[in-house]
Amino acid sequence: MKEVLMINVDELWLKGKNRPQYFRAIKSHLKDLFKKSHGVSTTIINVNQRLVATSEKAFARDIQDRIINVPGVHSICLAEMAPLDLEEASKIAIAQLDKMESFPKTFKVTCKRINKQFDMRSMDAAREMGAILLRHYDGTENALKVDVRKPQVFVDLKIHRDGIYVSTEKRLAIGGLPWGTSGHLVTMLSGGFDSPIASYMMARRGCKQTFVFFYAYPYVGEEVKEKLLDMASKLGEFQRGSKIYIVPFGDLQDLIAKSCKEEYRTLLFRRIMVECSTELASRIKASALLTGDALGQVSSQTLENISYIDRVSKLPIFRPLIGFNKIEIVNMSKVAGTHDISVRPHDDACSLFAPKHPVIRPDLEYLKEFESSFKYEDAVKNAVDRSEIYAISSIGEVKLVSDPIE
Amino acid sequence: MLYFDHAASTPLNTAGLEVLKKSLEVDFANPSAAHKLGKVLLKRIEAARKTFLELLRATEYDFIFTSSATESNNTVIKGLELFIEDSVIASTGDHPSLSGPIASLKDFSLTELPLLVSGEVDYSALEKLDLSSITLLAIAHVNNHTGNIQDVERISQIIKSRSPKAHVHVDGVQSFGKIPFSLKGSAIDSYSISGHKIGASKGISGLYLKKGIALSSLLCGGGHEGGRRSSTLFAPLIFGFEATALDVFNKLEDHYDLVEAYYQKVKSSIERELPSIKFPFENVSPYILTFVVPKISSDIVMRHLERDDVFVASSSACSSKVKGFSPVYQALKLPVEEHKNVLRISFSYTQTENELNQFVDKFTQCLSSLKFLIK
Repeated sequence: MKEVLMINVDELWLKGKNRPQYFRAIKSHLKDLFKKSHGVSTTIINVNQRLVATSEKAFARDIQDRIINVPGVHSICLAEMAPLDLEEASKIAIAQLDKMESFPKTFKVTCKRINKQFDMRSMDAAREMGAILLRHYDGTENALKVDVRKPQVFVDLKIHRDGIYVSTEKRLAIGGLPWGTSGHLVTMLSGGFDSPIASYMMARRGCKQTFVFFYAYPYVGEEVKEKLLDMASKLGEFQRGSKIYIVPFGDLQDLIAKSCKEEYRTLLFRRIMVECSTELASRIKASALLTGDALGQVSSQTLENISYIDRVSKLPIFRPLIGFNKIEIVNMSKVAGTHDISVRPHDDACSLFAPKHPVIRPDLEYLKEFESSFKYEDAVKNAVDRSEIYAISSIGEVKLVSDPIE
Repeated sequence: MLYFDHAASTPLNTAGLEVLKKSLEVDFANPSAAHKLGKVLLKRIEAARKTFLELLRATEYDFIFTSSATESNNTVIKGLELFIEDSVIASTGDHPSLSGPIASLKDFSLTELPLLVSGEVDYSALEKLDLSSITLLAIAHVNNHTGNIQDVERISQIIKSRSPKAHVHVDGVQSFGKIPFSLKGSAIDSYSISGHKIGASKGISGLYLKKGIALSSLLCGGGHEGGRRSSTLFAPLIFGFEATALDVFNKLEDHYDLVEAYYQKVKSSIERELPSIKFPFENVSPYILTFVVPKISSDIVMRHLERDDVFVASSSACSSKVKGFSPVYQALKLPVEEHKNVLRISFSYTQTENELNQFVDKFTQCLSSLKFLIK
């Protein structure tokens, strides 16, 4: 028997003439995943604005888990195909219900008839299927009831030309737009909660991302790098292939700390991180930067400090979390799967260098003066040149690559 | 390279390496084989065993070859098969190969061995404890973190006078071949030693065990080592270990004097150049110099030094690195705010005066470049 996975797409209905391009993007992402983790050949076809994947092997839970993380996928249903006959379709539905860990008490049948040759209309087919199921379970310990408002299980029928697709379980996916259809960002990652969630949100908006981490060795140790690689691996699951640049930052940080007023350290670290990210963006042709800033969360995220950074940045900086509360971000991290990596303790060089009283309203005159005396261009280029680069596959495999430029 | 982490491991002893290399090539037979090749090897292994017994004048002991000192410690602590009513006295400040197997015992009571802030055993506190039910004392002869030399005979006698049935186990890993010591007339029941800490290969160690003490075996099989540890005897490692030990013991006192001079020199240079550094531990082995660098995480110092090809040990073994709390340092009476700031440098007789001078220069430079981190 052919195994069938119905993949419903999100937001594509918005995209008039661009629709074929979006379908292509999402299909190539799915094909990449099937190739890497399903093991047998899988065909994906468009059927009435949804994608139907079929293969000889059952779609295991772990491949389903990957598909629901594909940007642009709205939901998935594991379906089995019956011949064009409701009695046959009901056998499949019964088998699926019997397999469920906890048997439902209530259900509802939904039906869509795409094949207009089929001799029953959708509503009638749904009613008939309902009746068959009620009859089957009547008088057993698994007696079922119909609940059209809040059923525990939807039994979904899609009547196509070649048969009836039956599914009883629908899993919601992350939605949004397919990978790569909204441009390329440089994502500035730290070890905390916020930047991974910023990345997650913009992955759902269809952004291809290259990650950058500023590695303050010897002020921090290898375990911080390992944590970031784990995080990049997790975030890579929302991308169709990505890279992380580990930029050596200890010496640069040391230099800045020793050249500026103590209270300006953190702000100027950020300034130089933005410079490095911009340098990287120009090398890999990314068009904007992405950070996890939330207004006022720490001293470098005051309105004045953010606007200073924006004024000196050559590229737009996206801050999707700017209006979020910490608890909301932490809750999202549980959904995105980044929470357990973020909570791992790690040394943080910025707090190590952090002044007692960091500047909240920077003196722009002083900053101008500092910038004219502090020649950082070569140091920035040099740091980016010396980056360690890792490739991350769509299933989160991390591999050191020697090529310094994408 | 300036290597100052000899207490963790040390380069191979030249005499021992020669023996090991040659033996790896020619001594391939199984020492348990019934033919001539096996029998000759077994005889040489028994001679090596005798060497180890003689080195510590351990006439009342057996000697068992093991793969590591961790194995030696486990062999005793688990092999004694303690019962629920048994009670153990040991220090959380000692190496995890002692505290680990103790923690694995089921339903027993553990008494913490009282220590002074200097790292030495607090005898007046010890005397006040009820020790009558103690069945096992486990203690390191030289503490690997602090270098403290404990008077293991005195402690053994105190414990045994209160609880004659008690087994006294001593971990001699940091003292064997370094501190003058013998087991002649000793109250100690078992004593662990390690090969790679004195320049033998990793993978070979040993256990002195007083004759007549019954232990259940961790490894059952062909009944090697008098049934106490089944495993094919790895003849080449044993011969290399023997040659190393002989070489080291031959010059033990000279080495001690040399290393003591190194210790004093480095300590006084650091005291002179960096007066804020604290040396909390007293009565220590000259092979280990442990100190606290106030307010600078020792990991950061260690990594700055490693970039300069200088290797020391930091307190990175902390169970919780970020908060910096370490139960080991807690037991050693270090204030919690200093747990992240402990550095250990450890010496070897193979080092030169010139290396020491370079080390002191690089170390003081490194710390002065990090002063800006102190808030």
